[in-house]
Amino acid sequence: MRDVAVVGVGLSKHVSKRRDVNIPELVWEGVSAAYEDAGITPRDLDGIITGNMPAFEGVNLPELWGAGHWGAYNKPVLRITTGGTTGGSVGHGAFYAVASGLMDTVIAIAFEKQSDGDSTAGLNTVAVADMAPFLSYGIDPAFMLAFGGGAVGVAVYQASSYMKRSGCTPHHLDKVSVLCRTNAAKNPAAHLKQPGLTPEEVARTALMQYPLRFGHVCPASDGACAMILTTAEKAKKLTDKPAFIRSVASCSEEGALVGIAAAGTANTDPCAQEGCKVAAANAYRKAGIKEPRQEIDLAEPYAPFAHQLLMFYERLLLCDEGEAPSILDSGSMELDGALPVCPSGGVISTNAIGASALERIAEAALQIMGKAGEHQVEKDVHKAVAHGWGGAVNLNVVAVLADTPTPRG
Amino acid sequence: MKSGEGLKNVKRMSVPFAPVFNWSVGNWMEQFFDGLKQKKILASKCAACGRVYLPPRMICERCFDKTEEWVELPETGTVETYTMAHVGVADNGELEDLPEPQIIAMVKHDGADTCMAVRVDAQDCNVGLRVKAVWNAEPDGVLDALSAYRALD
Repeated sequence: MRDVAVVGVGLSKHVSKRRDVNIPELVWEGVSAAYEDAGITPRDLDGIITGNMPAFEGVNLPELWGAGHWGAYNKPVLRITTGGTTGGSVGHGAFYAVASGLMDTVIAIAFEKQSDGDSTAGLNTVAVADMAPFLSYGIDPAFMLAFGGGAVGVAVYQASSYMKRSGCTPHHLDKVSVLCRTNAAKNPAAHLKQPGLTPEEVARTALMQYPLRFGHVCPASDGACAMILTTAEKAKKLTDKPAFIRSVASCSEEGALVGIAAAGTANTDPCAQEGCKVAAANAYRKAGIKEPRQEIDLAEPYAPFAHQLLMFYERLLLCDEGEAPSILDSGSMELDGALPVCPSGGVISTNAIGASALERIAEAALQIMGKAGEHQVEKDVHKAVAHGWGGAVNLNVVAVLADTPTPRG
Repeated sequence: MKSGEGLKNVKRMSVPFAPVFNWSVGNWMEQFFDGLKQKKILASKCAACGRVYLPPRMICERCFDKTEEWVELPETGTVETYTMAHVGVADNGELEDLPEPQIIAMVKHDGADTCMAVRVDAQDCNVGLRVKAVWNAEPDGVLDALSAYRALD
């Protein structure tokens, strides 16, 4: 296996509605920024790995509409789509291509243009598979009532359970939103920027669905993310400070019953997220990390809903279960903290769904390369973990990045 | 949470919902449609290779350059290939027999490097047939502004 380096990152601006551009034109904004950042052109590429959510825009093969706009002329193109984890899986696909020796230089592109489509309709095409057992056994799919408000219906059962088990209070949820939205205010690519936001203001937002308020939930964004990955040898010629993807790992659990379990399994607690723990443990092992709590400098968990930032911080094995709320209180997760979390503003501030899990890897890379700008964390970042959650809420994807390649032997 | 608590400050959604799709045509196609309103056929040109795209597109895929130059093309062009439609779509969405077969052709406008699929009103169609665009009396910003093409004498 070969070392894999990130040499370029590009993000479009993320907003609710980009009516002026079509899908290929929007994605081009992130793609062209990545080529510019890496100092290469599509001529230097061996392949393109791309993905977005299935059916969200009502365009089933957007990669074939857009590929030429993204530099794919005469190149291999692959699309990967795995639900909320799509961007992470796209990143993993690009990693596999370079690590395996099959390709030297690839671009990973992930995007969503939610304003073109209907995300709740798209989501229902994913949920249908989970509803089928209910219908075929003649059981009333009452849990679908939770979907009146869209994707939040997936998370509320999990939030209630996590709060009960961890001691996380509604005030902690408010503070998570403040952490993320004030970080987002410093990130030019972020969507929902709320400088000076207070927990009290979050607490006053409307209840969306118990226990989550409007202020605890991600926006729907139009946006794109692109990353250029290459070999360690080629990276040397392009940059003095690449970020290395040391490892990727994913874990698919039992099929989920969306909304009832939302856990990635029909059998365990929705906040258990055993799959995340398995993926994280595998990723750390492959990355040569023995003590993630001591060695990881920064985390980008995938948290479209406030409780998930704390829940996945624990499931990424960065503390004991139930400890994350008090770690949040300690200030350690902030930009100047000991282990900053979601310095980008996270998914709760910006959610172009298909892109979101790739944006976690992109942020980890930017922080390691020292290119994050105003939201660059205070400490030096040597090792970072990036996460995604999705599939039929049964898939977790984890990537570990570092400023040095994976130790071998 | 006790039942009924906090119901004054609750986000309300309407169910069932009707999915809506709103595809953006994009910057380049929008300029093309705006041109049609003024009976202008606007194409975008790649500065690097000189290829002229009609309908216009933002990126010349071969050069990966933005096509920033706009050129107005003549109404004349050549049939590159064609087919014959015998069935059309009625206003209610049902298929219906057309009173007369309709020629649908890929026409390359003079000065363009790409084709558009258009209706051609002609007694006889052949590859290489020279055609000219026929505008609607009051063209608006849609493709139907070009009602059909006719054979050049």
